[in-house]
Amino acid sequence: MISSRMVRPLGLSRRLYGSVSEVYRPATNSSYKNNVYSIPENKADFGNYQRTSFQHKITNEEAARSSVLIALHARLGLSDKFEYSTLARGLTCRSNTNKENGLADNFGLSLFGKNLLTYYATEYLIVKYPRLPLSILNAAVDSYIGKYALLDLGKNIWGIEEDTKSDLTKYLNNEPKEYAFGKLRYDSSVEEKEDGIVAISKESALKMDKASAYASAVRSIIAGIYAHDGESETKKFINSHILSRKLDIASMFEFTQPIRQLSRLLQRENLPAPTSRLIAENGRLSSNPIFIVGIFSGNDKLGEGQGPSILKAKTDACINSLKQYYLYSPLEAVVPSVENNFKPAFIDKGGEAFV
Amino acid sequence: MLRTWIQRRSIVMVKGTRVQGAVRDPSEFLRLKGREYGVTDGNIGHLKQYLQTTQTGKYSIPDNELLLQILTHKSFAHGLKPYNEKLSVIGFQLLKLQSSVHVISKPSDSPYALNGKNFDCLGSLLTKSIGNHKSLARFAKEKQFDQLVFWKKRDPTLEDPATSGEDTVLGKTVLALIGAINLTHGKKVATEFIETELMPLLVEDVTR
Repeated sequence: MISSRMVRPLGLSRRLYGSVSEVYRPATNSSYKNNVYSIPENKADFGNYQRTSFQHKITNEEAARSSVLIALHARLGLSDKFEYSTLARGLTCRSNTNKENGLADNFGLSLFGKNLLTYYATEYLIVKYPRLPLSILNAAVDSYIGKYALLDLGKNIWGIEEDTKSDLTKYLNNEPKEYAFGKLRYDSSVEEKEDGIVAISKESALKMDKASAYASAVRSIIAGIYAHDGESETKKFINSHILSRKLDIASMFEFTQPIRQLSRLLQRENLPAPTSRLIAENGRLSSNPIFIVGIFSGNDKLGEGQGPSILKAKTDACINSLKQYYLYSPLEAVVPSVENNFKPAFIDKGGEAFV
Repeated sequence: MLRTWIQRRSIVMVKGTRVQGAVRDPSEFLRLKGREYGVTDGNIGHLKQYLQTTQTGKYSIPDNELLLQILTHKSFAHGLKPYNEKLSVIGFQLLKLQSSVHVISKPSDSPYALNGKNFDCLGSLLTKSIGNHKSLARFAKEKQFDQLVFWKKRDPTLEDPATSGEDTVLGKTVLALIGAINLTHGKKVATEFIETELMPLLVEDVTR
């Protein structure tokens, strides 16, 4: 028998089960439910929107009693203006436990932190590599600020700890409740059933995996800096902790039709069509021949490639030529958010040339 | 023996009646509703004038090629001409950031606000919808940019702006305009453009 929660193709459902309403259930999305937010009568009064589950928050005094929290605050070099209570809230993820306790969580903060991070990463990459195709740009942004990058940052570099002890263990250890305020608190969607076997829960949107929890904490800390120290300090923090990390963008390219793509690119740029010329070869009749092929547009050499066959060398040369073009980086690139001495950025022709 | 040769493709371009497989005459497809593609006053003059007259020319973009690029969607001429996709990406990220700054900066009495900023409004359906394509398309239509955009409908028989892609294309054009102002004048000026020209309309659209 089919459960009413299951979805089947429409035609099949009608034939087998009669009424559509027996099979389909209305779409629901918990985050859009009205009872999550209390909205004032004047909908544009955004200052008075509230989360209905919030009943109390961690105070500055309570947070200041957590040695782990104070150590993290010092380790990150946060300013005196950045309150301990904000850091404690940043480590409190949206979860069933916190909802039941009525504790204020970091959901809004992490959304704002995400917007800040995405903008600054995009701006940095668009100005530094103005010709990147959109797919590579998105992958590069994700490599800087995606949840796994932020997990690595939060866990391995900042050393944020997880609160994994049960309430019973804490009680038996006589651990004060404030101690856990310096640790990341979330409801894990992954449950260890037995050694080597885990169950992944999909029951609730309020359960999250480890990477999402760490990412939300990192984003919330960045939003906290914005709230207490302003945008200029936030930008410095993002530059020193996130955009300063090395990213090998050249290895992200994967061309499916490099020869055609180069030809199309030159057509768009109004340059002569590409020609390939054999520059050198060795051991054509041997088991290990090597060919070196150059790609030219008119008299200008665009790139060079080598390989065990002429076609492989030509393909390699086209890939190198395309990478030379797409990875162009202006010498004195200045991001738009710079406070003084901004110079108009180089703007490319839109992205990749379609084949 | 080392040889050098030049490859030549022997594709014939035919003018007149369309021949399947032959390369089309560019003057045939580089046009939209009788307007020929190119840096002409008819194509970019209106946008240029709008930017020059708004806030005494603070947002003006002197590069005519860039103005044409803002008005060209990637669906036009199979992406053969400079298009606005990446400008719209940076414009979208800036608009998203600025709309969240706008909502959290409203005066708040909430006990959960941090330094007077109410982050708890973020994530609600209303705040998420600020800057949706439909509102942006409304802005483009109000400023009469909609007739200037070079794009190609995926299906010429579709008339509804929501399904034909018109809202998306016009929305992306407005985002590209924000992106171009950002890259030409810097974030401060682009943020002012969003706050003064766009935000009242975008907020009104989602809260009415």
